[in-house]
Amino acid sequence: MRKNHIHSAYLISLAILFLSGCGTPPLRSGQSLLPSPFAQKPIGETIKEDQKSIAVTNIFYKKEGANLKYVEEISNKYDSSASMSGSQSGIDIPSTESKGPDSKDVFSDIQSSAFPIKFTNVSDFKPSDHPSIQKDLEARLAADGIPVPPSAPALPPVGNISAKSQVTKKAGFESHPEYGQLRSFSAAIRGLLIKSGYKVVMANTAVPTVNQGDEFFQVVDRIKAGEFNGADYVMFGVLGEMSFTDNVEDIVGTKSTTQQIGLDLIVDFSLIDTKTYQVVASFLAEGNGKEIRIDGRGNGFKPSMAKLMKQASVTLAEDVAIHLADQNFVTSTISQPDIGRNYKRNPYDDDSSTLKIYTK
Amino acid sequence: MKNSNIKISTYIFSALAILTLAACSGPQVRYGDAKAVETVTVDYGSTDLQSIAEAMARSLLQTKVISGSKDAPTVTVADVKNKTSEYIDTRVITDKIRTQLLKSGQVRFAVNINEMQSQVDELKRQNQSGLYKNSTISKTGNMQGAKYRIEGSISSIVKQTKDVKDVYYVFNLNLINNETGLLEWADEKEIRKTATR
Repeated sequence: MRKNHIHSAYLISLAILFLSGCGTPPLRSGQSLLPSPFAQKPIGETIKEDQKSIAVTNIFYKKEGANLKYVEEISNKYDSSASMSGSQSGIDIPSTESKGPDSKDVFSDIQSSAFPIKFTNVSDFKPSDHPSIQKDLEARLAADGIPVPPSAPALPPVGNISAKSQVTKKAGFESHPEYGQLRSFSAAIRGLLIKSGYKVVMANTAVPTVNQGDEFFQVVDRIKAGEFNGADYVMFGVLGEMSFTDNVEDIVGTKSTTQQIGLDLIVDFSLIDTKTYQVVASFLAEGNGKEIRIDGRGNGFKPSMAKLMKQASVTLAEDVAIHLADQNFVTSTISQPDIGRNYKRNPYDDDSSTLKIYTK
Repeated sequence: MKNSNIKISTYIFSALAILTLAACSGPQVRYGDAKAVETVTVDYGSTDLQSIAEAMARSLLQTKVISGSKDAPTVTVADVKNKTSEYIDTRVITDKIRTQLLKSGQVRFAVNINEMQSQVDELKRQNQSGLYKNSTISKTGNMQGAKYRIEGSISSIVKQTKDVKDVYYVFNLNLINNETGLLEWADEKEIRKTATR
């Protein structure tokens, strides 16, 4: 009899153990049953175990400025085989692609180089063939106090020596390439990669040198030079375009308008494996900051550049994350936040005994 | 004899008082059934409004765009044009349809063009007055755009003889995808009313 009791107690305890094994484990602190706004499985989880490291460079850029420049060359020739020549550098006409006044605010946070002018793409050009340019040139020379040379000035003969003078006018574009880094837009990307389980290594700052050329963008040379502190991957970004917009639009159906100030940037990213130099992922990511003011125009509204830059930086990082997942750099996917999703609801209870108040 | 005279005069006085009181009182008021069929004239009336709204809302909820959608699609109400010779407040029709659709829980509505001014004023007040705590502000730039819009028209044909008046109404409603411009759903409700002397 007693044996039976012991046996049943043993069976019951076994059953309880089995049942507790099947039960859902209790939630840990901070763990929620509700879906997270981002994916529960973070990106980079697959490589989290061995903690691959990644270096994210600042965003590199090359700013091109081009001025139209006239060059005049006067050469005098003497039949006594003596000759003299001289050149007179003329007028700079600024190019039309000048940046707006706000652009300084963004590019003030940069590390850039000021380089000597490179005179490129010079083509022979005769202003005399273009009356308007000729007129403009002469007016500018006169304004600068430079005597306007005649097209073929005749020098008086000195003794037996006869002389010929020739004026050659040339025009071309001189370019001002400027290389540098934008430092304010990569922090959000680094933060996102850290959250995703990467070990983020700080990349050395690349300093442009005198007479810097496009080798500034040679990231492979930098990897070989060991500038990325042994990182497994280097995420290298080059600014494609940055633009500021300031538009005013009517709001249909109202008497109001909106002033929309925007900062948009496009960055060309390449993710490079430092062992094989293979490009693991490559994409164009977009960031944009936006400030909207209702009836802003005419009220002296000044946008906050800091706010625009922060928004642009955050949206750029989000776009980077989406592209990294798209290109299978990480196997898990990033879902968009549920914010703004319109779930269907249950119909309103139409029971007449319940009080319903519908307000307009 | 004297008593009987007094009695008669009392009765007459009472009857006169009752008559006077009855003459002074207003028309008799009573509540009726709001959904009762109204047939006072052949003109557009409450029964027409109710039947149109109910038929349209029911049909719209059965369309695949709404019933087959995982989320509640966002819709806005555009104009319903009155092409009849009568004065018809078409906003009442669309408001009634909107209420019925909202009560179903299957659709969400974005403010329409007539409600935009108050929406803009409220956003301006919260965002630009500097009076509100930043974390509680409904921020500018986060309004949801409607995926679909509802628009339509009501038309009528009236025929009249000496003894007969016949009115035919047709109410047409369309659901248009704002992004693609495609007509996703359309339905109509016909009503015929005839009055004879």
